[in-house]
Amino acid sequence: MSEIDSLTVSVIWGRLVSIAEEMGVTVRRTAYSEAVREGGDFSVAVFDAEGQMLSQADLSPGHLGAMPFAIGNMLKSYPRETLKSGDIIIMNDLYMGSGHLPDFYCMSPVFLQSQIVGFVVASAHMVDVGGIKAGSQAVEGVTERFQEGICFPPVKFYNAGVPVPEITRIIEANVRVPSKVIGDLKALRNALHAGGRALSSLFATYGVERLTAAARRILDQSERAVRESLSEIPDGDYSYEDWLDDVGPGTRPVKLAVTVRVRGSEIIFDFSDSDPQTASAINSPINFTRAYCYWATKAITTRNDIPQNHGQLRPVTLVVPDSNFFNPSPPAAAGGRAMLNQRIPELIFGALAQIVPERITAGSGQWANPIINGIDPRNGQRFVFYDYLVGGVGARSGADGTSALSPVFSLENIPVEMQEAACPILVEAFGFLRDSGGAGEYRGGLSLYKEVRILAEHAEVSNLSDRHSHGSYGLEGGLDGPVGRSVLNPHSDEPVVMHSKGVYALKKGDVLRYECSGSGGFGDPKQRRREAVEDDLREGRISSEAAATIYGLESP
Amino acid sequence: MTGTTATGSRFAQRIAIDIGGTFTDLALIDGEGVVVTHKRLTTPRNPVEGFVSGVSELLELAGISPDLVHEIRHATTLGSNVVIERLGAPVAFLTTKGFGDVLQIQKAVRYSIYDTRMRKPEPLVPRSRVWEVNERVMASGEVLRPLDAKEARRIVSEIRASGARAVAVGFLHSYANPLHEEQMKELFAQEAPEIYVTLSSEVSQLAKEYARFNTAVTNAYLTPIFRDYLSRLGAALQERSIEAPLWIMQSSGGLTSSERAAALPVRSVESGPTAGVTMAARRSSMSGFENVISFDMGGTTAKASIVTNGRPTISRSFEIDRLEMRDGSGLPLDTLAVDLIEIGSGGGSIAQLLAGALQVGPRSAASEPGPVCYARGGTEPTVTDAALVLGYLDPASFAGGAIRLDRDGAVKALARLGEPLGLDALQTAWGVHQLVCLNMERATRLISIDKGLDPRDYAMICFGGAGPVHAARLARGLGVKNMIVPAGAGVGSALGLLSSVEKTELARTRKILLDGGCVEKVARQIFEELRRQAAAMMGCEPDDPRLSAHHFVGLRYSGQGYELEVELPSVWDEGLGAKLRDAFARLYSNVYGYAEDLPLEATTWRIALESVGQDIEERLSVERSEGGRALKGRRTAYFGETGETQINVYDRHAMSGDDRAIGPCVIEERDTTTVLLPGDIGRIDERGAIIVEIGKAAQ
Repeated sequence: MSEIDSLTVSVIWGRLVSIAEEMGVTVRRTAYSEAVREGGDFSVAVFDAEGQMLSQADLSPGHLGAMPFAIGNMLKSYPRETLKSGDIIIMNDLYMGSGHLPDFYCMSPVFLQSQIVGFVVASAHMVDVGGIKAGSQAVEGVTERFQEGICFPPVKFYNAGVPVPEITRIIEANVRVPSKVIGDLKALRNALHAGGRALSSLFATYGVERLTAAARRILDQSERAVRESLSEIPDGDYSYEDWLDDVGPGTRPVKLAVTVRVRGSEIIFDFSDSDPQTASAINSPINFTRAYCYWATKAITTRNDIPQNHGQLRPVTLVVPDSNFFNPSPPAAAGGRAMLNQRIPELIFGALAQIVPERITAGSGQWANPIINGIDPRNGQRFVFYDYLVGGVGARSGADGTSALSPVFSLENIPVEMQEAACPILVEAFGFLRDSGGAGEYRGGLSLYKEVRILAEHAEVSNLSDRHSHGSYGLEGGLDGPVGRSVLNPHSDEPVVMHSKGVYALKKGDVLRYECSGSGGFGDPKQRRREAVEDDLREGRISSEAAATIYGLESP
Repeated sequence: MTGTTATGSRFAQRIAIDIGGTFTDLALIDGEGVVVTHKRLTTPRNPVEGFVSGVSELLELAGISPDLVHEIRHATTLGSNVVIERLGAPVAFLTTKGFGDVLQIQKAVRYSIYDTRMRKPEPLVPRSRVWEVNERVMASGEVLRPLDAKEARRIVSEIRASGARAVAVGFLHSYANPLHEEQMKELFAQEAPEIYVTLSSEVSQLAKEYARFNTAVTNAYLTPIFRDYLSRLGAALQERSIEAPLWIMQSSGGLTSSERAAALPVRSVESGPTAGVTMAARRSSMSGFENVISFDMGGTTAKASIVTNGRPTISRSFEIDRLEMRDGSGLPLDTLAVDLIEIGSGGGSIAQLLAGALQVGPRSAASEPGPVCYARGGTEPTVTDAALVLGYLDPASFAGGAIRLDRDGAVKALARLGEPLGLDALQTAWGVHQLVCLNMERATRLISIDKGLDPRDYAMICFGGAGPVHAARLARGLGVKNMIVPAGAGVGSALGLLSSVEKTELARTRKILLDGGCVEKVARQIFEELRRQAAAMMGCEPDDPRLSAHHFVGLRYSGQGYELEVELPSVWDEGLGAKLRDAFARLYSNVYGYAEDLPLEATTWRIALESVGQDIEERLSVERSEGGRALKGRRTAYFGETGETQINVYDRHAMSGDDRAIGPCVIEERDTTTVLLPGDIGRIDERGAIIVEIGKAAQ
């Protein structure tokens, strides 16, 4: 019988998490692109034979939430009975994976003797997959996904342990930096190797039947924890709507709307009132929408206290009609969908603010992801300067927001010294925007700005950001975050305000200034502790005007 | 007799003193190599007094007069405590115009991905004490804008007026060209000579501004405190007629003079744990094991480290003051340090239920209130409570009998914890014990993968009060076959200090393709320069016969970002490139499963230069209870493999070379207990270490 005690379950649970962590270290250690090894834009997870996620390493939420569906899609193309030990399936289809082509998924079956006992999956954001602009995330001029780069449906990358050379050749012929893409795919392969070996040996130690029983218990217990927490939220329908500035120069704002329906221990996210899909590179394919709904659910329930797994996804249901902005139909493009990652939880938090404000934060500063490319005068080679900067986290009940931090994912700053060594640019300034933390009894976190000077003769920037016209919300009387902007040559006589998603030609000496939008405050600013206001003023987080007019600080 | 001076009295060749959070460990070696040890409580409010009293007590114990001490070696947690508790001196930071927020922005790592409450560590310098000056150096080292001397002068006077005792100067790309930083140092020397100045280019040669700047700021933050401490220490020792030179342990595992330590205190923040690893490396080598996992488990944390070819592995950076031991949650320091992974799993780690599963740590009951069984007000069951209930510890003789353990209290607390799961106290204790071992197994695996090695190829050496209690279970989890419990495991760090050598570690980044040929020429050129610098820092000529060097190079496939370090063989000829490639390929495929057919790149070159001098053969001994019986009794203990069972209890001090302890059993000594699992065989080797063959009898 598969009777299994609580202790063994705890031990197996720890081991499953540890296997995912080992896979994560392997990817980071052996990756070739900065985005993967410094930016951490990759994910790994361990699945059972039914395709249920048993554990993951805490990495990129967009990939993690999409993984259960990605693996299901890969198994549709390669039914499990056809899989052999040493097979690796890869895929980057945006509708099957996590919503844009740069995200590649690799999956391997794990065998114990001749039986499949589970799967290991690893994914990573590739620096380029072809398409009209370097980085494959351009917004301007893109209307359908065929413009965005190469797309692999599920195909074999390794067949029974032997590499399939055609795949490598196709990649080499289609992407701008093949050595990095192929290198990163190999890093994913290394992780599958490490994880597969460890998972197989875990099954061997406990026996398939006991381990399966333990896995079932782990998922059920985790599910129960989420349900218990959700049950504490009063039943009801809570709606919120917000606006995306636009989906490129000359386009209209997009309505983003959610109704959160709480029914006992179930939570339903209904996006039906959102606008239809757009003919641009900004849409949120269903798996991406799902991923951040899962993130939001975890953030208001079990947070980081319990490792994420399939059980915690069960109480969540999505309602999104076809061809909705949050469930676009082919051939909608989605290269720029990463802008939306923080917006999905923010919508959900906006709705829940009406009933459980203590569990959520005010709106956060919007991150920016401009990509500059051109020819490096030092070596005559093409360079791709993949840059990003983050806003601050919105304030919450009882505490200020954290400054310069994505509210939803980990995006380690690439040091300026590394950027200048790698690309013909000079960073003139990189710092906090004073007054970007929305005022409140608890202040929002501060957002970043950056000024970049071009040292190449000619270059081009694909700007990517939002909230240049619609700011993030404050709560309970806290003020909204100020809007962001980006300006070409801000200190010259003829500064040009750039569109948040525009493409601009650049010449040597041009300076680009990016300012992320600010985050929202929580509670009435007049209620903020005087010492906190004085501290903010002394440390340069707020201006003296803001201290006087918004916070009511009389001159000290 | 050799152990006496010319006049016939006994002298102390070396004294070692390790001041830790709870205990201060001391050891002394006389001219004949006889070692005397001593342990006392730390006096956190007055470390100088604790130091001097401890040394006096030790000398009295050994019957040696204070004027017959040749040298003193010291490891201290002062540096890390000052940072963790933010007790440093008021400092200022000066940086390139446009970059004043770097220390506040930090890395933007979301180390808890789902936690909306996540905070960043508090920087050591508030933004209001940061100044920006107009200057700019490019990545190539070329000066784009010269230092604005007028503005710089004004800033110096402002910093002076601010009351700062120390200042850190961190300019962009100063690793490539330190000119402007050096100009600032001169300005401070002229206009504000009372302010201690740290340049970022003095503490680190690495790119990545935030980590380098933070390292400089940390050094500035610690400098006034270290100087005060060392000068008061010198005075207090002199008062007691001890004129011996003082050596300080650095994070990289070598000793340095107290003058150098006072100038670069940031290099000594991991002083204490490093001394333990040094001991582990030496003791394992003496027992015939060159490749070991060092496992040190105390009251609040456990530390794992890797020793390869008898040498601890070194990392180029680490984080201090991490939150819940999570990566990215602490302040980064770019200093060479023995590579340690520290996790919140100690004897005091608290067990609790989360989502219907048991979880152990990282919360700790520490020493106040301590585990339930200390009967000092602790109510939540801990790892030590579990070990007691399982029968692994003797309530009467814990920590040399210093604390009498309350078994009933531990049973009640564990029963309460296990009740919702339908577990009794014993079952719960078994769960807690397994889980804490699993936490440590996880950490050890991660550090292994990081270093590109397979733990199954390694032995394990364990120490610290809780180490030998848990090590055999951990060893099984990792697939380790041999375990070593060194003599004097309870004062491991002090023993490590006794046998440490003066050492300087220097690293330089220079990228070359391994297949480009001439590797041996580049190596010779780089290492000559590094040797010259390192020797100068130790006050000797590069060709001084007392110096011995080890050379390492970090390798990676061209295009990758992380390296694996390989030691250079002793001969450098045309075959060097091929040898390095082979060594790298073995390491890489061993852990990652595949070796690539890609060009290899050499990046970081590191030298470890040691002053070998007179190596003293120590004769530590475990006081032997002459004529005592090795088997001192039997008691009931629980093992998952056997259930409750009667086991033998051995007295380590009475065991001789012929005795065999067959698990399940325990071997007790004054400061710790070694637990052997069913099938393990333990014996004492000629060095007094317990050598355990894991699962040997079961085969």
